[in-house]
Amino acid sequence: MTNPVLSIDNLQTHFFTRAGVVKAVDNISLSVNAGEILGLVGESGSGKSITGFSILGLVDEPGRIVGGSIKLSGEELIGKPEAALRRIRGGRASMIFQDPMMTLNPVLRIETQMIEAIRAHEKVPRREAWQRARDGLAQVGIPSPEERLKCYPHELSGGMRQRVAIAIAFLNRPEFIVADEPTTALDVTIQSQILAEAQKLCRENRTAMIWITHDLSVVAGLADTIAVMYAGRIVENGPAEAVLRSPRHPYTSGLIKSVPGEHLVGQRLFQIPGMTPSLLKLGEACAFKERCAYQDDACSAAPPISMEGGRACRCFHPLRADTAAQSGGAAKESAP
Amino acid sequence: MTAILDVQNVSKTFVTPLDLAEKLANLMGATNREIRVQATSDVSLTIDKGEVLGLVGESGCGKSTLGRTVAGIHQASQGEIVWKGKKLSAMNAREKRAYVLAVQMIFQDPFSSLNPRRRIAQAVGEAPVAHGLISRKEQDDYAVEMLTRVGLDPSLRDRYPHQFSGGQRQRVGIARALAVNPEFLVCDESIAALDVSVQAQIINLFIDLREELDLTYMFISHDLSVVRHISDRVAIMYLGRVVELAPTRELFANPLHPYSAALLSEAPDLRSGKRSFHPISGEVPSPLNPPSGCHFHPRCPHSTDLCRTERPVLRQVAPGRQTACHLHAT
Repeated sequence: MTNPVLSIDNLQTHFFTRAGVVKAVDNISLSVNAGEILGLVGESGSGKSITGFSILGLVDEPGRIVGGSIKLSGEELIGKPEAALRRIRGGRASMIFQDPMMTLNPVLRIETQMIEAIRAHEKVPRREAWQRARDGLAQVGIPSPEERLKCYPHELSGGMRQRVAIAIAFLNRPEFIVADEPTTALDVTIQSQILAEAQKLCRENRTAMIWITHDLSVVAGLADTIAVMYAGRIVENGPAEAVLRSPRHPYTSGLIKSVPGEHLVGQRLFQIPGMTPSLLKLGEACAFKERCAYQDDACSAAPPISMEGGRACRCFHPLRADTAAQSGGAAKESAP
Repeated sequence: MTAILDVQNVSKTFVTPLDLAEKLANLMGATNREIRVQATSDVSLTIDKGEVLGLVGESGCGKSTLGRTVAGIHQASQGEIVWKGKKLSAMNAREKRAYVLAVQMIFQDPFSSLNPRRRIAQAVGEAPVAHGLISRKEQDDYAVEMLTRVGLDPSLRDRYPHQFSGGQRQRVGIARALAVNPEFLVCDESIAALDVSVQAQIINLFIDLREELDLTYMFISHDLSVVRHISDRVAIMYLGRVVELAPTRELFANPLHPYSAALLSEAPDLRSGKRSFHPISGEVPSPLNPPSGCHFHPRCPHSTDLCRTERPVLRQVAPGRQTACHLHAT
């Protein structure tokens, strides 16, 4: 085994609000190898974006990383001074946001922003930085990059802007990138183009990537490994194909079954009963307990993490391949 | 089955007129033109009673404009909407009111379509009282009945929209549309903003309501897997035109138009496994200045000279299947 580019151990990011402590990220562990894409899947409020922000040290008050470790190529990031983090951000590690206008400054030309991003990390002449910026745009499939460099962000379409944001993220050949739902706002054909570019760049540059999304079908085609988050914890983690084909956690199984597929067209879909719990009221117990068909008295304690064949699952009653295959086997069916 | 709604050659053009300064400049010899966007162009389709028609396309293709035209929010620039055999333009005031009540719309974001200062029982009960369907005394009971129908706890009726989760708010939006006893629902991206598990709940609600109330739907969405699940027939739009219209099963088995084929192959699929993406190149051109001939020709792998010059018309190529493509002209 090679050493992972990014390894997270027992990360805890909590928000100290007036209503109480919100454990947005509660004891999660992950690792990503060079050239690999990890799909971090979860619904809104599951803590997937906060995990991404935590890695780059972007968590703001009232949030704080209260425990754990985040190592980039073996180097601890938590507790690093702000100046050191700034050198890492945009250089060795970078981030792609859902809205490219979070990356781009609306009043500066694309070339100004890209050249600045290069020269902030490396002493290179302007001319050379400009060439690298141009090559970067060409790499993400932008036609006539010289002209595009002179544009302001508002002169580009949404898909083009997202490509520019991706080009900027890859500019300094980072070891690691967090992509936070970068295709959610885009159309199907444009999404597919962006996925293709991201996949190609990761492979060519051996960049490790975490792709955050709520859409299981996006990571199905993209990711090598999948981690599923629920209420601040990772409930299941493993190779993408295995997780999607035979999910072991009842929540993962329920999610997969609630996606419309080619079978059972026109019939009612499987639905997970209930709602995501409030993060304020979570105790040690399994957060999915109230919505789960397999819950019993044991579930009031903290569920153990079982490892099997490179897959982790946080559950007292992990599903076997045969039970998961049964229809309706994962969680109780409910009428709305 | 008879057509409940017939859309006949409907076009909708949005015009931004010249302002005073531009008009003056024109008098002095400048050539400012008013900005025209043809949002939908010559769209014809029919929807049968009890049917679900899926309307699919990327942003700017005119699917929402078509939905709004059908719901009576926009007026068609050209063409006719025919409701139960009667032209909209030939209806008297009473018939028109009945039409507007019978066709209801459910929006993507119930947060922006619900008044944040009104309790949901008021939001749901207001329209039926205003239209004389029920008396004011019955309003509260009626709202409770509607909320129960969409699976909301009636004890929540005195809450405000912000006190609900996204899925619950969407249920309120549905309850409000159902309150005036509609026959036809236009769902404009009604589940796009919801989480996966909540999406399934709302789709199930739509399926149940269709059976209970004998509803007809126009289901607008960009999500192919959802459209495939819920629709009987699908219309695919590109830059204001319908490029393909087919029964769902046949469309997904064998798309005829190159754009439909590209859309279907690019839609992410849970069961695909890790794969390479082979996207079609290019982007949707601006509707302000659409390409000549077939709008899709700059991105189409099969385009010919004919495609560049002549607009293909939507024509029947097999029973129940229509496509607008020169490849299938023979």
